[in-house]
Amino acid sequence: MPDADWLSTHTFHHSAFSDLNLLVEKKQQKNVKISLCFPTLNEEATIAKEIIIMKSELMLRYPLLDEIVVIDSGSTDRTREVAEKYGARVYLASNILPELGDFRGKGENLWKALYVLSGDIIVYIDADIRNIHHRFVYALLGPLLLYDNIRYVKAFYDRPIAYDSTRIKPKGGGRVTELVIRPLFSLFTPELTQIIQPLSGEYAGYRSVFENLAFPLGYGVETSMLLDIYRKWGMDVIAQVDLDKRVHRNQEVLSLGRMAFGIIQTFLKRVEKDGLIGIHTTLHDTMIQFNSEGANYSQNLYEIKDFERPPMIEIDTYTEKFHGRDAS
Amino acid sequence: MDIHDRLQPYLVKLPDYANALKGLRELIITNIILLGQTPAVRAFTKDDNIDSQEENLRAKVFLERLSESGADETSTDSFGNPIALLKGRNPGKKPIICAVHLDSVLPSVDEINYRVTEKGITGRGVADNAAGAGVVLSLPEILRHLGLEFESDLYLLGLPDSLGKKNLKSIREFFLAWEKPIRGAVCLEGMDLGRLSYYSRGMIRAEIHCRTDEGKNSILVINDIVNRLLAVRLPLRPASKIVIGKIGGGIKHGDPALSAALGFEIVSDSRKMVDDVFKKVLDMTESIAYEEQVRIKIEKLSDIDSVRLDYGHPLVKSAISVMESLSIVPEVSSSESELSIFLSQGIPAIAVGVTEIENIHTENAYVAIDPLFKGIAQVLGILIAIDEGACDA
Repeated sequence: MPDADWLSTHTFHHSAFSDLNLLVEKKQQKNVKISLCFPTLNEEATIAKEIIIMKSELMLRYPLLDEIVVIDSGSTDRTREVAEKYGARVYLASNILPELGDFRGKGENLWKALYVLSGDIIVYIDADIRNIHHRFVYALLGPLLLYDNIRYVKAFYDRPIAYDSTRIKPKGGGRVTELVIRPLFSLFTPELTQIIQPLSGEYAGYRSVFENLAFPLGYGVETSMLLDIYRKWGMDVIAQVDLDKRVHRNQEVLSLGRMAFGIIQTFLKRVEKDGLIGIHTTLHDTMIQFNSEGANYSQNLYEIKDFERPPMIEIDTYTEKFHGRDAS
Repeated sequence: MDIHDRLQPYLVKLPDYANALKGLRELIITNIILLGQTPAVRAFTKDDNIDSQEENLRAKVFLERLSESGADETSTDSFGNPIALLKGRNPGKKPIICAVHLDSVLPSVDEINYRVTEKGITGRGVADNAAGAGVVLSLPEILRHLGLEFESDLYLLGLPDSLGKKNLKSIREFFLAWEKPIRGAVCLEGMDLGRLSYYSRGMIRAEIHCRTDEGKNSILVINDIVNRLLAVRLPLRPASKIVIGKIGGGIKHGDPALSAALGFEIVSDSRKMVDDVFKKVLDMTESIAYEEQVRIKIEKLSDIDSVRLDYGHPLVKSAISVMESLSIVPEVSSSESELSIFLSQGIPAIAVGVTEIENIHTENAYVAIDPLFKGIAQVLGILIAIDEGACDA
């Protein structure tokens, strides 16, 4: 069963970190560089606002961030142009480490970002947040800068509803979290159920954590990250921060179904590798969904590969750049 | 040296100021977004676990942002109006006020999200008046960035309750609490770059509410009132008009409306004309109430005197010089806003717009980003003019 203390000692509200001068001071004491990374695919509607607010508040007003970088999967709208106009450094994911191939997916962007970002601490923020506020970044940095044991911080949204001083109803996560992830965590890794929104796309951590993680290319990246960090370092290095409300694109249930497929795929692979279950068949990599048009039904097949990138620390060009040696 | 001569060295610098302000682009846009995305409502907020208080959320953001940006003092007056002070070099000089209304004509909603592109910002209330408020919030950092300092203290005043039925409540209350003499004032509006207001026409804004019993139709009564308002004879001089701006009534398509309402303004260069026309409207509605056996009530929402600066006033002439130095074409119009209250207090004041706008009072209101820098340089020029004595004659 989960350690009852973890939730109270490793869960924070963003207001605990609103003293930005203190965070800047701690950053200077620790002598670390901090990078903010936006993985993007067709985000021209929201990316400008995200960059502008972060640059204004966390670079110009409070020197907390050293760089803002956009890693784009090949947007067909003006995402890259708009991001450049407002001062972000913009990369096409396919142009980073091209000798290692080019795949589509958020995980690919996050993984390749490690090679071009310069920070010791990296903040990943989804680029589709309509109500973006700089707390989304500084509150994730707070536990990393103020607590030496914390190495990875995850966001969650909407505060638990308090009925009275003794009864609290946690609001929890979205549909995929409550129907897929939390049941799986409850079955295999109950301690991770304490992560209120394991699929949130906003997290921050030390490079030394991220570079040791394998990155699934698609939907499973957040799940695998939690499982791997928990397995390698335990719950004590993880914290979570309530960022209040997040407004983003609503997803259709069919698209959530494909997301759930990718997550289950990643999860099963991880728990089998850890020896928690044995799978005695080859898992299929196609999600089958149905369309109806009048009396006719048709199948839609979505191939969802469970390919993943190895830990970046195993890539020679990376270790030469960041650790000054050959990985071999 | 007169004000025109004293202003000359600054006028040549204003285009450079506009250019230099591009270095603060992200800060200015962020201020517009964070203020404009905050619902313009009062709510209970809590800073600790002991006490909570009801306050206007935009006023709270206004003060927090100015406090963070290094204003010398921030406070609220006894009516909840947020005020920030940027100290001047000479405590003996009367202060200057830069005022901005923080509310919107559109009903408040819980969720406001602006969209930013390379060219502009789009969203509910951005043109009236998040852009104006965002500029005021940026002034401390703008002045530091440009190395500008005034002789006079500069007060940045946010006005949470201004529009529609609020009838300029905040600025009226501000003057109930304020005791110091004021040197001059600038009122900022998002819309529209080039706008120059230095007079307010006399104005009465009112709503006519009609209620009827079963068998009668309030909408038809209101229709009769509209026809009679349109038939009121108004003189060409003094310029006067009746503006019918709002109408509503009824509940179901198939039921005669038992209630209906009409909103209108009477506007004139002459205050007496406004009063005369309003009396006619009162008589007319009273007669309809008796003739049709319906209940009619007139609710006066706003009542503003006709006040003005002369075109030849140094503040007006200076503002025109400032605009021309930035290649902004002045478009003179009246403003029945905060300006009228400053002028009626005998304080020289003008209202200007800060950028180009579109779709003003819609969900897709838009403000252009590039013209904003000229708009801000214009505000700086006007503040400099006041500081150099444009209001001291």
